[in-house]
Amino acid sequence: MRAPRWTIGRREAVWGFVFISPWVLGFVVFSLGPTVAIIAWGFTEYDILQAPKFAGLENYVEIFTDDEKFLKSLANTAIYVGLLVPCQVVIGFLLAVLVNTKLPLASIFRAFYFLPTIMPLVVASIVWAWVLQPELGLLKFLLEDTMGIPTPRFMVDEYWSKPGIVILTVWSSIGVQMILFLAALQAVPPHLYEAAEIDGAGPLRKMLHVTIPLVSPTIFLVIIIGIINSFQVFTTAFVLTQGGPLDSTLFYVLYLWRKAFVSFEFGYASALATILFFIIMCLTALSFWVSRRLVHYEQPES
Amino acid sequence: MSFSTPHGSLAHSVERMRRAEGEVIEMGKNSQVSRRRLLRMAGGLGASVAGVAALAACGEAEPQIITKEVPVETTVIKEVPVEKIVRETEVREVPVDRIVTQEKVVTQQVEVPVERVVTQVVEREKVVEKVVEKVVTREVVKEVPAMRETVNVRWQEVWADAFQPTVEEKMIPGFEAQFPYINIVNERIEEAQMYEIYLTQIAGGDPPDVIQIQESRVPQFAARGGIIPLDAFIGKAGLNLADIFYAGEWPKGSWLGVQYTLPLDNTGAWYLFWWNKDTFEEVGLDPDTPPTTWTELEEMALKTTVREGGEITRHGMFVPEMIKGARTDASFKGWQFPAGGHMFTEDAKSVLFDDAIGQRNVSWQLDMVQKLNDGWDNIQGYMDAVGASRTAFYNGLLTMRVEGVWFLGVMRRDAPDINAGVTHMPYDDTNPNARPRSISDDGWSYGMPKGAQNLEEGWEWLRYLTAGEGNLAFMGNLKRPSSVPKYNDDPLYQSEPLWNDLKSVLPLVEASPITPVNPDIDQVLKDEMELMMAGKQSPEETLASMAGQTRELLDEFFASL
Repeated sequence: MRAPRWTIGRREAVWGFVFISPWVLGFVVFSLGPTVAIIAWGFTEYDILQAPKFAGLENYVEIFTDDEKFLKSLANTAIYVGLLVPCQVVIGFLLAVLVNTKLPLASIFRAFYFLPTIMPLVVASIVWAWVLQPELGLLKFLLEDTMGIPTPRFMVDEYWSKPGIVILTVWSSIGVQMILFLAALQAVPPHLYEAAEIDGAGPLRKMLHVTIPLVSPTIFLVIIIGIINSFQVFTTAFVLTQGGPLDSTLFYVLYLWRKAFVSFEFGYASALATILFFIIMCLTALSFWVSRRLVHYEQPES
Repeated sequence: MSFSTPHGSLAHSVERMRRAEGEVIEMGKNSQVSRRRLLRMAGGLGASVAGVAALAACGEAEPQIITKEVPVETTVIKEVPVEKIVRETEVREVPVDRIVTQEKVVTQQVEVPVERVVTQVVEREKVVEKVVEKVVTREVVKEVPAMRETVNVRWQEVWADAFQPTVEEKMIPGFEAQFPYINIVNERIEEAQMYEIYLTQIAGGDPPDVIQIQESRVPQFAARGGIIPLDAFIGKAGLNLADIFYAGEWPKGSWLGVQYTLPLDNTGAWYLFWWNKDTFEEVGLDPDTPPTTWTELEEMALKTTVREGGEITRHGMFVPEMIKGARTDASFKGWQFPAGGHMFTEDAKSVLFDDAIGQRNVSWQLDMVQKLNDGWDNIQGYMDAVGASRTAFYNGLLTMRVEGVWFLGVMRRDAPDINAGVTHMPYDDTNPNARPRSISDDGWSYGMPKGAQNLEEGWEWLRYLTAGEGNLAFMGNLKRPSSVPKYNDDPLYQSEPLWNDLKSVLPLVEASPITPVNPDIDQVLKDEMELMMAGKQSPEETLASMAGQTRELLDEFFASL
């Protein structure tokens, strides 16, 4: 009886698994494993220093029925995401359009706009804290002291604290969005613009009917990444405001961190993390569902 | 160990005897031996038997050694690493005629009451002319400090980054010279992440041996078994902490009467009062006379406040501002003690601030903000995390402020020429029981986390860092007061003009009880004070809410034990 011969497909499959196994191993050890552990600890009373004790749904019951700061932090984060992500999309796209022109020194501008991205966020936060400082800051000096224009009390006023952090985050992250949009813009086939021009389209029409539909997959990507990242905002609030004033910058992950490493309620913090995981997953799924209608994927001709 | 006989070794004699017996037997077999040979063999056999008999008779009685002039050796006793106890053999020499060697031992298997010999190495031969009459053994217990295996002590701290030359060139070599078998491994970590790092290391079973920890966190770790008690080490070393450290410092490292850490610095004066002497002089106040009471504080603050066009261009004082502005939680605690009040019972289980003194404290702070600063909005901008209030003080925009002992070094770094003074907090002169007090409920200390591997060696390093010379080296470099009073008299500090003023406040410092839920309580106090300052609630509601939430936190924690 002859041994079954390995088909090419089967051999390729085996080699495929071999080649992706380092990633799979890393994913299991560093992502899947901790995720499962966090979900499990969410059902325990655990302070890290002592063994966890099973607590059933106690943490979740407390979060949803007796924790004002959970709702406050969730609301703060949602508002922050709502402010930040549109800014990142619009400003990133406009910057990409600007630096995509064939003007002299365009490449220098690209580098200039990307520069803040490589600065550590902690450093950027401290610099911006002094720029926006409401009593002794640079902005107050330039606007209020020099020109008499009243400046918002960023970081210390409960209504201006989130916009202050949004300004800082946009400044420090916009280089990434700009690069993504720039790559998408440069991939738009020139003949489509030529065809639109022949049909009499002006710059605005070309932007609305050619450029935006063709870069819509990138817009969608920036939105998804923006939602995922901004829901996990921590460093800026930790450095600049520590959650204040009046808890107006108590973002979800900052609150989670406090519970874990300040209060030593690691089980409770794990439950909070699990909830955040499902919130982000649901928002991402929703974005994919919406994208079916709004995102244009170019199909190759059959 | 073996001994010689006049006829050579015992084994050799026995062998000769056996050989003679064999010859007699052989002779019997052959029946061809001459009479002379027979007599010679019989004589030899008899002598051998007699020798063995004599030896056997002497063996048990006395360790007398009869030595023939035979080659013997110099013996070198080499101490090999045994745990701690080594028994040495001492040779007592009884002067007979002349003794050539001090200690002689020759290879012969005579049992003498020698407990144990460590090692012998025969180097060269020598002639013994006379007899060592007696060998006596005596136990000598001796520690063997050398030849121990090197132990790496992992030390994690958050400060040494800027002081590496002191750490690497002075502290660690100074310690390792005293303890050559200990190697200090300095692992610097970020202060902002220190507890994440400690907790994950402890949970992962790989903690360092010595950690830097804030005293406000000690009960939190201690109550959960996260840090090792030091009482046994302190007792063994015979340390009396009250004799070594300031009275307001060492109790902060304890929890329920057990000591868990020893203090590094004197943050005792967590709340100190600083004023700008130049501004005082400018408005006609005596620059060397700061306010000592709340009434004087109000008067002087108003006098140093400047208003132009309806706006305040120079503030006298931000009463609720404590510690870089960001910690308004500290403002309640900071003023509670000069108000004549307390925070908690000694066992840190119950709230004491929910009383008339606490109410006076809260109301007075709000009142001062209205009177001195025209409302919270005018000073809120200075309550940030980057230290705007410090900058305002340096630039003469703020005349008086409260910050801890560390502010001296910070001020000298940021504004070296500022003409400032320092003293204790003004007290509430409407309360007859109030007095000048500085309270400390935090500070930096060293301890050993749960799971630390090298406790004995870690303790030695911890002791050196806190009660030993390492403390002076480190704190002197920082120009911050040490937790050990005698070190604060060191010439290292004498170049600082304000040093004696600062030093005079330190003995006034009292330690306040610290609870195992201290960080949560701080957050509650901060939030509630901020709500009051922002006009969201009354002083009465503020105190009631602070007390209620604090009680809930304490009760919940102690119920969980």
